[in-house]
Amino acid sequence: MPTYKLCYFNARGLGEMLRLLFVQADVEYEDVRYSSEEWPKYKPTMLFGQMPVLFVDGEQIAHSRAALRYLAREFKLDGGNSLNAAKVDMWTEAMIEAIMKLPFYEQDEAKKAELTAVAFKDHIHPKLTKFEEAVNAKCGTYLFGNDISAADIMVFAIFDLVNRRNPDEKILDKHPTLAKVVAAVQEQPRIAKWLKERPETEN
Amino acid sequence: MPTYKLCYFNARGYGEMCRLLFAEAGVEYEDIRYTREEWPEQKPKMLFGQMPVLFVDGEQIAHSRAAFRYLAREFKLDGGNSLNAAKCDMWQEVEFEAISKLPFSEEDEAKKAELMTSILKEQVHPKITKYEEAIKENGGIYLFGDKISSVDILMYGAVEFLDKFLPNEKILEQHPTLKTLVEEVQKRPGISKWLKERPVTEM
Repeated sequence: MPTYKLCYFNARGLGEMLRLLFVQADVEYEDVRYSSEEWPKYKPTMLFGQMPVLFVDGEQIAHSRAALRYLAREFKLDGGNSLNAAKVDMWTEAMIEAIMKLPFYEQDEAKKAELTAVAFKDHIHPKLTKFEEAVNAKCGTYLFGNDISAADIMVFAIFDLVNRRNPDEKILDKHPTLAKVVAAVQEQPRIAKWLKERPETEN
Repeated sequence: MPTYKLCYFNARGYGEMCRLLFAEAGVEYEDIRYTREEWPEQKPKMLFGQMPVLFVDGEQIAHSRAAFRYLAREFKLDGGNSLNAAKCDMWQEVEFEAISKLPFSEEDEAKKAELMTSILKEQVHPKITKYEEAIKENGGIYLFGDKISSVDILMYGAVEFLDKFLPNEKILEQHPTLKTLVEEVQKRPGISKWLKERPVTEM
């Protein structure tokens, strides 16, 4: 087993989906969280000056989604075969592209509200509906039926982030199958324990 | 061997990187190119209403980079082990993010020129330099030394794109290690045959 270290800020953000994979797989790792004050000192040590970075025996996988796919493969959370791994990959990219349409940095409140509405209507809700159709097609709990994968955990992590910022959107009311996936992921024993014990952070 | 079909427009664009992998691997596939007139009828059949889509025995991998990584894995062009596959993944995402920041759709010509210069200087060139450093660390021509991988082929595609749309940037004059890489990729038997025979398209 390699030595794993995850470097990120003290936040859920793009790092939490990686932490959840370690938790689900019950694999030890160093959960390093740099403060904003510490970050300038560590920034030059990161391959692209950004985080999260996953260190594997000291080697850097300096991209969050590349790290997600690597851990999914190592922990056998990638659907069990190469084509399913490609589907986990596809859903990860599709979901993250959808939530990246949210105006995280818009300062003008009215414009932010308008762009948020468009992001939900044109990108996030349609993608979630498609994900639900794929889950329903397998007649199980998760994307691949009854076997949890990194795709389900990633969807949970994204939902967790987006729901907190946009509670009025009532995402789970609009997506009953997603609600079942989210509930099932949250109830996985190790994930449930982590959700109780993890640092509370704003983002 | 599964049956492969790639659906895209008659363009290089986001489809060409998969076509280059098929060419390198010498694997047959149906290279479907829909016209603008045909596209409205085909659009509802694509999982996210977009292309490229890779069909594998009829199943859709409806994301260009997920499809690329799947083919790299299937064709053993992902570096030979899981960690190297993660490095290919990381470099692919980093390349995509850097190129995506180039403001080709900016309408204000003065602003476009200014942004183009700054993105090239702050994002594209530094990332290429980092890739060259990684190649030099492995002592060979390619990222993993003497063994070509998908990301070397992707970098060839990136240079082809930048040379076409930003010819004055003279990318390869500024990056000699990349130049050697590009020349080697072009000489690969499958790829050189494809480059001679492929449809000539504007994009």
